[in-house]
Parts: sequence; C-alpha cells; structure tokens
Amino acid sequence: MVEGRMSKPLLIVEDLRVEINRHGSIVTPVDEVSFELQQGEILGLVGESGSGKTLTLKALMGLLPPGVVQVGGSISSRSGDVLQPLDPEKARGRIMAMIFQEPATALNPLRRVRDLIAEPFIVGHGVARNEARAKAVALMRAVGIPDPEQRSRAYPHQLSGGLRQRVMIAMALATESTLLLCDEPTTALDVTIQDQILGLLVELKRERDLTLVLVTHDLAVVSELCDRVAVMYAGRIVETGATADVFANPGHPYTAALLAAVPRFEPGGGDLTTIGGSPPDLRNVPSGCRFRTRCQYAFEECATAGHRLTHVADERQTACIHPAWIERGVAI
Amino acid sequence: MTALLEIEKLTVQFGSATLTDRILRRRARVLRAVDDLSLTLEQGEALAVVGESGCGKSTLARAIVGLVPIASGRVHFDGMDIAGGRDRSTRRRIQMVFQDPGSSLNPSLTVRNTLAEVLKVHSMVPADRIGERCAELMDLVELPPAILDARPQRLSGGQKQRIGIARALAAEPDLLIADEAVAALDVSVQASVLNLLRQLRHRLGLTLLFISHDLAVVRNLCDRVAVMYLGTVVEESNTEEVFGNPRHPYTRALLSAVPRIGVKKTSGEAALAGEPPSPLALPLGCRFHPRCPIAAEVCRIEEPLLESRQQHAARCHFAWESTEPITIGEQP
Repeated sequence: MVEGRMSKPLLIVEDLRVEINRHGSIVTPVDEVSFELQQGEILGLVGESGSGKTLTLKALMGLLPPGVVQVGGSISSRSGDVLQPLDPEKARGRIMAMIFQEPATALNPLRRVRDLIAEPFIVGHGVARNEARAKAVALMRAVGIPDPEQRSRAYPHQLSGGLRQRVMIAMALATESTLLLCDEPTTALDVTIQDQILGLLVELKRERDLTLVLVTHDLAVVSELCDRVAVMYAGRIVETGATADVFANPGHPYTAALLAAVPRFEPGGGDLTTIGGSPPDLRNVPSGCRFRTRCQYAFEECATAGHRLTHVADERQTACIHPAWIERGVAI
Repeated sequence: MTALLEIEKLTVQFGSATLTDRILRRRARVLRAVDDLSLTLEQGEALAVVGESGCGKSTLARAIVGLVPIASGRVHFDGMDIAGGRDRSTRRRIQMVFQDPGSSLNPSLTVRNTLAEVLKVHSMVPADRIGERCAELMDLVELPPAILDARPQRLSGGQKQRIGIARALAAEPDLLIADEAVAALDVSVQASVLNLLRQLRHRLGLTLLFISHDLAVVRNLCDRVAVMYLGTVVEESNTEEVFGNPRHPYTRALLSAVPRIGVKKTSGEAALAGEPPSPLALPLGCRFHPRCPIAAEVCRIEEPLLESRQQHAARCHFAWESTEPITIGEQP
C-alpha cells in the first residue's frame, strides 16, 4: 500500500537549514533536515523543547519569526506530476494551512468566529459575504461545534479551549488546503478534549483526503495518530520510519532513551530511565553526532561522523553509525 | 497508619457580592471551586489528585497550604484544626512545589539566598550553619553546589524545578504538596524529577499530595488516587484499584482518553463527548450526568453520595450495580 505512495511525495524537504543571528553569534536551530511527505499520510515531527521541530514547520509555512532565517536547503511541492520549488507566500492559505498550539492567542480576538472562518472564502475564493458566512456555519458543524448558528456570532474569548481549537481547524479547512501543518494542536487541552480533537483530525483526514504534519513533544500522541515519525534532536532528524516500527524497535539511541523515559500507562512504579546530561547548547554543539555526549553506546568515530540518514530497512532511516543500532534497524 | 491530613466537607468559593450587585440587590455569582470535599491523607503515603482543568484540584492544594480562604469545612493537620489559620510552625510543616519554576522563584535572588531565606524565617539552623545546610540541600536534589551562586535565569527548567523542591525541603516539611510539578518539563527531565521525588519521599518519610492531570505519571508515582470532577471527588481508592477497576464513568472515560504508545487511533470516536459545564451553573443531580454515557432518570434528580466498598469509593448511582471488574485499554 505504501509502495504506490512512496513514488509520489507531496513535499520534499532537502537539507533545510535555519539560522538565528544574535549579536553576531550564529546558532543553527534547524540543520540538515531532510524528509519527504507522502500524499495522504500523517507525519509526526517529535522532539523535546529546542529540537527544532516547530521552526522546521514554520520554515515550511514561511512563517519564521523575525531574526530567524532559512539559509539553506530546498522545499519542493508536487502539483500534478511536476515537482516545483515551494513558494510559502503563495502556498499559504491555498494548498497548506497551519493549526497553532494556542488557539487563545492565534485567533483575532476582535472578530466573530463566523468572520474568522469566512475570511478565507472571501479573500481566497471571492465568495460573497453572506454565502461565506453560511459556509462558515457548515464548517463549524463539520468540525463538531454544537449549536453552530448561535456560536458563529461568538468572539473567541467566549469559547472554551476545545471549541477554539475546533474553530482554528475550521479556518484551516476553509482555505481548502489539503496539507495541514499542526503545531502541538492538543498540548494546551485537557485529555478528554485532546481525545476529541485527535479523533476529529483522523475523521477529517479520511473524509477530505488531507495530508498532515503533526509537531508534538508527546510520543503517545504520535503513536495514536501518525503513520510515520521523524525524531528530532538538537536541530537534526536522527531517525525516521513507520511509527509502529520506530516505537517498537528504535534504530537510534536517542529514540530509545526518549521512549524509555516516558512513564508507561502500566501497573507498577519503578524508577524511570533517564537520559544523562542535557541537550547541547546550540551555540556549542558537539562535533559529529550531536547526541554522542549523552549516548551510552558512543565510540570514537561518533565524534567525526557526518550527519547522514542511512536506509536500514524499507522506509527506515537512522543517523546512528553504531553497528549495533544499524543491525537492529536491519533486523526489522 | 495514622491520618496526617483530614479534610471534611471542605468548600472553597470565589466571588462575593460586588458593589453593583448590592446596588441592584442581585445575588452574587459565586463559583464553588471546591465543593463539599472530604479526603484523608495517611502518614507517609503519596496521594494523587487528578482531574481536568477547572476541576478544583489546584484550589484544593492552595486551600491546604492556606493560600486561599476556606468557606466552610474542617481541615485537620496532625490533629490540629488549620481551617481558620495556622501558626508559623504548622505552616512550616506543609510545603508546596509549584508548576512553573520559572515564575515561582524570585529572579533577583541567587539560589543560596532563596534557600537561606527559608532557613532563616523558620530558624531551621543556626546562622553559621546556613551555608553548610544549603550545600546539603543541593546534594539532596542532586545538583552541583556551584549552582548555589546562580540566579534562576541561568538555570534550565529541570534545575529550576529541583531548586523549587529544595526550597520546599529546606523547611523540613511533613507534607509536601506538588501542584503539576512536572507538567512543564520535557519527558527526559520529567523522568529524572519524578525519580527524585520518589527517592526523597522514601528517604525523608514525606507524605505527598501530588496534583496532576497526567494519569501515566500518577500511576508511576502514587499509592492512592482521588479523581476530581467539578469541585468534588468522584472516585477514590488505591492506584491499581482506580486504574484497574474504575467504578465511575468519568474515571473510565478519563482513562480511555489517555493516548498510549502502541495504540493507534482509527476512528473519531471519543471517550467522552462535550465539555464540562461551567462551575458557575452546576447541573442538578449528578454533576457528571450531562456528559455521562450511562446517565438515567435518577441521575438528573438526585446527587449520588460517595459510596465505599472495600476502601474504594465512587460517587455514582450505578458504581456498585455490578461488581464485575471493568478494565480499560487492556483489550486490543
């Protein structure tokens, strides 16, 4: 099933590099990031704070904050059979839309919900205001907002966090984009509401044939939702593959350590496995593999190895050069 | 075991008649954050209070430490009534660790001064032993002594939370209240802080009240769990009993809403529909009935009592209808 898709990536990111120049000292929060996004999949970008996952997403969207610049790499998107460089300014709101973490601050507080959702119809597709509002109400129903007619006149602050996130999803759908970039869409929500929103994303993806990139720090959310996962550490992707495979049999020591640190939903409360040390200061990253200073399997070559994702099995790539980990990957 | 903390029919409310209310002779809008709540904490145990935002778990913690006034009810600590106020020595014996170490530490004080302040206020050690004690505290929370001269700004999130714990421990408390103490931390850091809390608890014989929304964390750390919904406890028992045999439909929904590694979500079906009603307008009867999948006529009319069977209490009319164990999430 994957074969057919593999040949037609929707988005190809190659060697993406993002820099911040602060008082003359340059840090690279996103470095040599390459991945492909297949039509119709949900890809998870997972990592801890500062791993570069959100900036990667913002670079795709062309929404890097001031002072943060993409200095290298290419992003290309497919339209029909042609791959062409992605122009975020043009693609934003047409083929791709973003769902932000904090709907409380991402929604314009001065506009009614129906106008927020209607705007893409009016601006992007030239639909008349009344018709656009009717479409907005229909979308509100589609994303599971109860009493959409009544709620459509509300302002964002009058809605709960869960409803605001549904409004944001409706706004993204209103652009008629088929690629949704989601930045921690459920992190600010309670667990029962998170469950609802994740379910909504699964349904919408199926009904509307969407492709999703999901940035999150929560490995369990990735496991629930994503077909494939890319694990980021200190600005680089260290492992990618099918989510179930990666989580069952990690092919990089960082992925393994991260998985071991998550409290499992199982009886018994022993000590959790921790990762010694802390993520490197981006102003002063270790040479070679950036995880080597915290890695219990590190050996000499790790200090000089270049960063390269190696195929170890179908769909499975790891940046680790340690034979034991590569063997594990191949064994899958 | 003897009870260290006994809470009986505790009510905490916010909002009283404003000037406008008085002029218009309106009834004041009162929010009952904690409503008729009873809870007992045995010496040396770790009790988790779990629930979603707005359920009153943090208010409960703040009422116990004396940060919010108590409207009615009894709070007994080691046999003393502390509902109306407490003397300094009792205050010392109940300490709190806050969620966000970034904003709960004084940014202008060095770590040494932060700790020394507590030692002086409570006359914990003679003045000439303060330095020595600070170093011991650092050792206790596994931080290098060099950090004593740093200000919070220079510390990582995990280090700041360890300082938060050291500050609480400086007062040598009997009861430690941790309010979402690991919620803001990355998973690898969270694991090490959880391990630290577990070790300290056993080493110092602390009684722990652990407020959290994260059920996996709670299962890992605590002996007993109380589930709160809209200001009151709806279920309470030892951890394995609550997780393995939940009797309240809210607990069941909460448990099945938790995302798990290795379980993929394939439908939009959510564990629980809707959102909690406003605590300003509590539903009549059982406060969970509007969202409850098994609600019956009696639930709309009569508020259920917290009924116990073999040290397992649940506030549901149907909790003990059938005694078959109910398991959540163990099925494929």
